[in-house]
Amino acid sequence: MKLYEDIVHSRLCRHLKQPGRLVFSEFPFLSRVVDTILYECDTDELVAIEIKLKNFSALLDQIHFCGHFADKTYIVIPKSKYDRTDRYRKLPKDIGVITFEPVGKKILFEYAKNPIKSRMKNERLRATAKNLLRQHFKGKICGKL
Amino acid sequence: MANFRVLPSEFVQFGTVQEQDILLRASDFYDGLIVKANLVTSFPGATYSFLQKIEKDFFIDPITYIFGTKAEHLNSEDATPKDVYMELAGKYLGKFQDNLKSGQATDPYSLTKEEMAETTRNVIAFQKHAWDSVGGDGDIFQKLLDSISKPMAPLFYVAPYFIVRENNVQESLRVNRSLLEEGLKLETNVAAIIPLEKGILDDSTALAQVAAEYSKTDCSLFIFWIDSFDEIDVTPTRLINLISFIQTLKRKGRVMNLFGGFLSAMLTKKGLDAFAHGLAYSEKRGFEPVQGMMPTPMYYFLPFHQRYPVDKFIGQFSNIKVKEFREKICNCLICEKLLSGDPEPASAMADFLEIQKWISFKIRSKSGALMTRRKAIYTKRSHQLARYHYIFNKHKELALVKSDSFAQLLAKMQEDRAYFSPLGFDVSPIDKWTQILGVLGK
Repeated sequence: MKLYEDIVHSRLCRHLKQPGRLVFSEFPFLSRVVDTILYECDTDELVAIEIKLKNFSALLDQIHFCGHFADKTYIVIPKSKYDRTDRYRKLPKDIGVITFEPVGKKILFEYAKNPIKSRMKNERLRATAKNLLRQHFKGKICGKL
Repeated sequence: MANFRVLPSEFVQFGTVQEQDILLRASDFYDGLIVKANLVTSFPGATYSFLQKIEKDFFIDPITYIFGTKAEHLNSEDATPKDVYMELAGKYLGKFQDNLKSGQATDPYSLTKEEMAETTRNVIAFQKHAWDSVGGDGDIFQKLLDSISKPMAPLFYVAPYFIVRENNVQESLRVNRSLLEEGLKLETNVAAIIPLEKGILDDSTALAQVAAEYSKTDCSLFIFWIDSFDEIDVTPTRLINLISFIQTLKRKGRVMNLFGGFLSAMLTKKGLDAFAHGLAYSEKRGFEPVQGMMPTPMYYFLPFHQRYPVDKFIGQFSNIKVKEFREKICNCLICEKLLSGDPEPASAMADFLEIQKWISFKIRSKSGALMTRRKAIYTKRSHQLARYHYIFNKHKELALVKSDSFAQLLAKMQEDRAYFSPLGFDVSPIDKWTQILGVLGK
């Protein structure tokens, strides 16, 4: 199966959906668009996720940006890429890694590296992001959103 | 020959009527205004009352070149020519309007001597009488009073002009020179706009030919415009050729750049008398008109003399204290106000990108699937903040260039580089300006 970023993205969103969690893909924040934002209702956590099949240096720039407003950040990269080098294992502790690989017609996602809470977070930017989520999910009551 | 000794040095392109408030309030921060003929035609009342209020020197850009470019650029969404261009074409020359109706550009080289004379008469008359019909009969008294107290005459008139094509410099010059000479027969204070395709900058012979041809006329104000010219990316050869071009024209009169930024400010030390920019997005402009949605508000980052979405530096701003931000980046009225409400520069500056709403649209992705994409629409306040910040900083930049020598500017750049580089900023713009300063300083 030939993989495209939008297919991985939509499968990941489906994979992440569960009760008590809001999933928002293509989240515009400041001048950028973040691939996926999760809001964990129980823990009041914002999680930012960026996906790339190639051009990984741009991916790291994007995820650093997300660290300024999200509680946790993840990058999503091909498993083969993660296994080939230890570059991604050595990423800063506050960047997590989810890998994916195609198996038949399915895509398997795996948490390869769990992050600690973002150390760069700015509370006012976080509040702005939450406010934007609140506008989008108006009517849905979830945790402290 | 007209005397342009009182030419202001920094012009602002009056882009849209929505910018009136900012231009009025910040009127101490620039010298003159350029009003495009299409804006005058679309909003005669608004432009008239604005220019009455602001009392700044101005001139009208007749934008005749657009009738020689692809006609589809002048169409509205329903693929018919926009009313404003039809009206303007009708005022200038029947042939322009006929061609526009049939979806064709006018070939400037095909204009007869009589057509050129008629176009010139009409274009100059348009600039002279642009607001004659404003107000209607009922307001005639008020209009008379206004005209006695504050005459609404442009600082000078602009002759009709077409693009100087790099593949046909000779013919382009023949047409433009004829139009200019026709204009100078009618009025003494007629300026020439010289729109150059970028490739001509590489050809010192062609550029010298352009300067020589214009110098043969009685014109004494030359306003050049280089197509989509990104000043920071100028090569040493192009810069040397440009300086030589300015200095050749300078022997004959005053020289101005229609769209310029920091390089143009520095070129004022090399003979350039004036330059213009828009309020936020017009330090360079292509010949083809741009249409589109409201763009992202950009933050003018003075140490790099470039504009960026402010979040480009959000990580780096987190490492900077307010005091350092004021000293090293910006202490304009806008930034001071934002910093007074939030002691952290990273989040205080986020007000430049405050989202009003999102719009969704569908695109077909590489995989063939129909995807929903979102785009942010920013608040009016964000756009205003960016424009005020821009105009304050441009004023400061020009003052800095005027007061410092090239060596001092270079020393300041090196100092900034040493400060910003360890903080994680990409300092390549400083390196590019340093290279440019090296050429200018010779």
